[in-house]
Amino acid sequence: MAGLLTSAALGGLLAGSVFALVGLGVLLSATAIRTVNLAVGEFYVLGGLMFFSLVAAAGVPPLLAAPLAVAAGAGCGLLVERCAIRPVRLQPPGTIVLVTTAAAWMLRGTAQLAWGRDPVAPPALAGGQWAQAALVIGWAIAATVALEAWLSRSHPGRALRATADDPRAAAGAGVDTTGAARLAFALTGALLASSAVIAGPVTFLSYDGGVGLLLRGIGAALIGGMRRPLLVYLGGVAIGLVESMSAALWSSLYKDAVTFCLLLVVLCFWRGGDEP
Amino acid sequence: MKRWIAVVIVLVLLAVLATGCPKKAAAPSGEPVKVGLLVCETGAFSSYGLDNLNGALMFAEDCNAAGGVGGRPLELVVYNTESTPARAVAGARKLIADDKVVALVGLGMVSEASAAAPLVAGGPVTFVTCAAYQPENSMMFGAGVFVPLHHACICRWLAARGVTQFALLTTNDATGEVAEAGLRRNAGQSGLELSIVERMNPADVDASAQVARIAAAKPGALVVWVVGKPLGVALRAIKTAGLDVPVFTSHGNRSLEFLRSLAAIEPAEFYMPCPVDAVWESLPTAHPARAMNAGFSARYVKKFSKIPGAGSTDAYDALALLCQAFAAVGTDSAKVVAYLEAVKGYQGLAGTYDFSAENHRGLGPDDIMIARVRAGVLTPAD
Repeated sequence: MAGLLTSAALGGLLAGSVFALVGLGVLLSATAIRTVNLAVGEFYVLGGLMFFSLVAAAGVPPLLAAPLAVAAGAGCGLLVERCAIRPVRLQPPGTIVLVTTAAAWMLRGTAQLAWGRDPVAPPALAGGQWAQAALVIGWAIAATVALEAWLSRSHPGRALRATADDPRAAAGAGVDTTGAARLAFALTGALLASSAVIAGPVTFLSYDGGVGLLLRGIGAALIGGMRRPLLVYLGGVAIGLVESMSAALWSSLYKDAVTFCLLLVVLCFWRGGDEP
Repeated sequence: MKRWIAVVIVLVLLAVLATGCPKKAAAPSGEPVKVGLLVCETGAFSSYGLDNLNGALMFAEDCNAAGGVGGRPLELVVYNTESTPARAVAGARKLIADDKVVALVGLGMVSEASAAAPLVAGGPVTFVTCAAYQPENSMMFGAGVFVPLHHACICRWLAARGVTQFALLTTNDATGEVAEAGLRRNAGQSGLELSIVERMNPADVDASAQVARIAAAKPGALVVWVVGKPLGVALRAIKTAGLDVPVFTSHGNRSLEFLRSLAAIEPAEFYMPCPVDAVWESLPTAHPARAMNAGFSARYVKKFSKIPGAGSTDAYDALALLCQAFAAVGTDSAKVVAYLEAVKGYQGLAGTYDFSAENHRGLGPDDIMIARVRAGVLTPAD
């Protein structure tokens, strides 16, 4: 029994770390658009696939391919911000969600055309299953701490938060809201691409793999009230642990139902990271 | 001497692959013979659908190069089902009413084939490429080996090696339901016990809890009946848990590139049931499927820059059988059905087809075998 619980806990922590990283991407882009960016899953997939191609097809060493893939992820974020988000950024949230949906479809189609339909396993940066798992868990914690500090203490981070709260008021106070949105999307792309480079060997990658991650990432971001990286991290880990523990202790058939029912209940009573 | 042998082999291959088409090489002319192709070019089953499409395009090219169907060109009219029954039905309607096709090929999913079945009950003849679907009316035929025969093959193989109980890890969807039912039924018939069944979501990124429960049940073997990304997730969990039992998976994972990328987490004993076209390189030289698949595979790689997948040979065989029927009895649906039901011992890429009025799925238990997977390479395990 102890072995079963240990395996489930470690597996849940690993899966939860991936959900948390996607949730952090949702939070970051929400600072620019004040709603959910449904293309974050595709940012993750594209970053990972670019890393895979650089290493497997072009023969670039992994440690050199990783920053290149991250830079490409940032570029992808900038492209989406410039072409899809900027023209509608001050529109109602419903319009923006629709635009991000279209962007997600476009990115998914691009991935399908460029990399085909077969899934791939990108090369691991760490040798061995345990080392790889530790790298993913460590990266999720590091990204959370760095983002928490950056958003609350740095000038660009505070500008992002101000833009998220009220873009017109922020602009009136001298904040470059267009630049803040650009920065938010570049960071989202870079964060998710780096996450895919590290976690890709665990999650595996396929052109349509972003959708499944998105749902749980949004769950994590909602628990964090779309504001607090630390709460998003805890939300992601909680989702991973609930899924894993319900599969271990009760039934793997109903683990998704258990997780999302609990998530609904929590969101009914929990106001996340809302500040007074 | 070797050069002459190679020339003879190539000539034999060309002759064999032209089966179903007239042997004259004159350019086809006149009204084209239109066949509708309903394939999942996008969506969940797009990997298989693309194989279907490529196999069909290969056949059309071969057939027209060899003179067409009774001297008439073969024309494929292709619609994307988007891996959805609604689009499949819309496509079938359009192909029958507007394009006036004389036969349909494709419908790679059970839900697509079931939804389109009422539309084709009165014709045209429809060759379904979904291996999990049992043709449900007289106008429908099936390509590929029926999936329950895959389950039976696994159970027979386990029983022959003294395994008494095994575990199943599959998805929490309709595919998983079908797999559990098929394996449970065949396990009983082979004197085996399916001792534990665990489920995973196709979008899951971890299966440690499920594998830990399976390991606690101490099975003699594990069947991981999932396709694509979840297989990687499951194999990683198996490797991490140190579960050292023979692992079987679905032949839907027959993407050699994907299997190669899993080499680092591949179980010590890793198997999948598959038809002869998956292991043609290991077949005896005299086996007719070997020569056919050698030629097909070489041209496929040249044309599409990838190794033929499971769906390519199914679509190729379906079209070859249909065109042989058209050349012999014309395109009248009733006559084509009667012709196909009389086909015995037809050697296709995926096996030897024997149809009858009761059996519209020509491949049987002898057309499937257990293959061992080693770093993406499949070899017969028997």
